[in-house]
Amino acid sequence: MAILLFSAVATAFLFANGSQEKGKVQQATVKWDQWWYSDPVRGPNVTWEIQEFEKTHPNIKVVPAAISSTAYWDQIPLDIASGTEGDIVTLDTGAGMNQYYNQRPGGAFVDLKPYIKGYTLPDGTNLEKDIVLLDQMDRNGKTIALPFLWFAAPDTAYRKSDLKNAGIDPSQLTTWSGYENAAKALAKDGKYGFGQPDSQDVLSRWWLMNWLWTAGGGIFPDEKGPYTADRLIFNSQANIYALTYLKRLIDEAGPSGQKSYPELEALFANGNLATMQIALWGVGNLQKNMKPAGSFESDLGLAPFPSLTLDGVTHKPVYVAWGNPLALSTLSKNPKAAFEFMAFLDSKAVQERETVAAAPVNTLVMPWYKEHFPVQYTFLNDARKYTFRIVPDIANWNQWDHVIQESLNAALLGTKSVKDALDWGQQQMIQLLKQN
Amino acid sequence: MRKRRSRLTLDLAGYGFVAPVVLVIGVMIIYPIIRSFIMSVTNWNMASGAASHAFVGLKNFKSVFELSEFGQMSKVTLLYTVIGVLGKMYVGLAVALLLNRAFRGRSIVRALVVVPWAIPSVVVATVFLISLDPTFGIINGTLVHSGIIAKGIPFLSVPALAMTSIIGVAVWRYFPFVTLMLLAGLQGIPKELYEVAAIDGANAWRRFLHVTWPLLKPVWSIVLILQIVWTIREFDLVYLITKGGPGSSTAVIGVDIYLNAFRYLRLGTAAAESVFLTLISMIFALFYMRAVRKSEGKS
Repeated sequence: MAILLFSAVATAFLFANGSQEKGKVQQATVKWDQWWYSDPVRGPNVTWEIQEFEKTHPNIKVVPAAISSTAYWDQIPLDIASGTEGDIVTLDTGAGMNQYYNQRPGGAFVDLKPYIKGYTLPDGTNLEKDIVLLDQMDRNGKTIALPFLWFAAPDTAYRKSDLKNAGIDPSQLTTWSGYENAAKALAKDGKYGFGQPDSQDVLSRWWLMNWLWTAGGGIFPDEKGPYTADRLIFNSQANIYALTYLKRLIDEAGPSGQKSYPELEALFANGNLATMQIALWGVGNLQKNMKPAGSFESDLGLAPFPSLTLDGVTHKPVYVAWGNPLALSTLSKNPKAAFEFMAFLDSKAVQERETVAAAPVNTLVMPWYKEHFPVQYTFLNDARKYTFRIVPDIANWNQWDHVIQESLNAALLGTKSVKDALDWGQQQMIQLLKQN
Repeated sequence: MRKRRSRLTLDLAGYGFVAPVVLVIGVMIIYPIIRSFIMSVTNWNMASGAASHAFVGLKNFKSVFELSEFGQMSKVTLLYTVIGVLGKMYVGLAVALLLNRAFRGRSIVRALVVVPWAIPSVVVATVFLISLDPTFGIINGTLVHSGIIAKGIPFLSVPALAMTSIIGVAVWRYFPFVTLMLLAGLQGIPKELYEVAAIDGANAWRRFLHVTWPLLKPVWSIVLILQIVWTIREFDLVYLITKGGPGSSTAVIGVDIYLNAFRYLRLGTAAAESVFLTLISMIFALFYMRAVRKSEGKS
């Protein structure tokens, strides 16, 4: 009897176990390459996003790569070259998407057109209709990435109290000549009147080109192709004018030495800098760090990037806009699962959380953004009145970036005259075009 | 027959013991060097997406030498090496001579001297990067507050100052190694020789010139050559502090190798530059081996 009972229990257990195995769903693992997982502000978002996604997609496991922001752009090309990149790779429209795409024959990233077509998230977000910057993701008729975050720069941030004490009307900051006079007047008693990020990292794509563009210069006309030597305008009069102006402003009203964005932000937050060029994501930092308490609400003013009147012609401001889109690796073993997560990152809930550092790409989130982040919304809205531009997406962009940064640095630091620095840059660019 | 077999067994055992080391050296050192040579004669460009890399002969070397910046980088590397090595050697010697004297707390000071050498480069770079800042840095802050200067000096934004600064940091970082080596050499000099020299009426300078220096010279030569080889291929400290800037005023060849390989993804060009630097280092390595042999012969 005992044997019979034991056999029955054992058989029942085996069956139960077997049915459990049958019920178990095969889990797809998706690796997400990004650079902010260990960031104290943005990192928790990654954890939250993965947890929320996995709740509704128990058969997909998302693994975030822990790459620091400083190492990311060095590691990604090596990963792509060795075929070890994540299923999802975060890119930057200002860091040469083509460069990474072209690393593998036929392209390193999947054409997302068929994935995006007709895709609607449970919250009603339609990827085709509701996501901005989608048109900027096209390369040779293929959509190589899905927009995720959006950034814009720069507006002029100013301390209202400093301007008031100096008898300066904020509207003066909206023209190049007015800004120059104001900055010089504000630079006194150990305070600085003007802050412009000009340290070596990524300054060309975010911080300096907008001065050249507003003056009517740049690298190529409107940064549009074809990218040929005869179309280069890097040593144009417009660029010489813009850099000469900028150098004068930095020398006469800015802190000495090259300054990075965080350094200037700290000076501004502590009240040692009266005006500075800020990015959209910098507003959140000022909200947290401006001293004394309450000065973000009472003392922070924003003015649009200044326009330039030159020889009777008014040049309206040109803003820099860039995004961090998500690309799907051609080597992904679970492309559908990976795309599910990519699409989820454009959902309203995720986009609302990500506004701690950027503007949402999901237009359905804009009313919420306006309500919760009125200053950032004003910034973005101001910027949207003007032209948005980004550096050209040339295949070997990193080399171009290096040349541009060296030229602009040499001009601003005075190691070469502005004209010599730009002439040198133009010559280097001609050499680079020959290499292609 | 038996003797031959045991000899063979002994030989095989010997080869067996040596094999792991040979394997490690082969895989970790010889193969990468050969691979670099092969890469230097191909058009290996990671950004091209090409699956194979065509043989281009010496084209990469030609393009490196034709590069307008290569002359500037060679000049910077030479300057950085010559002044940096001399600084490390003479500061190292001075400190070694001081530490060779008897004084209270000598062992603590000897331990403390090693600290700069023991700190990781990235920490050293970060500390100096902040310290040298014209607005926030402690060095400028002290100078301004004590009234010596009116405005912070942009140490890393003016080419000559940036070069001086990174050489200064490199001397501070690496002189302890020189000190340690020379101190070991100084302690090997018999005390009797100094006593005899003192009896003969030799002053401190003459004792150094005629006793210390001749006996320290073999160690000095070895350390000097090692420092040249290490400094000529230096990259980390320079890149971490100035990234080769402002402009390319502190761009040693190592910085350009890094940029070519990991930023521009032109591995062929980077390999050609590496091979060039390896050959230069090998010349000094030969001198080093000669110096070692000479010093062994003397001892």
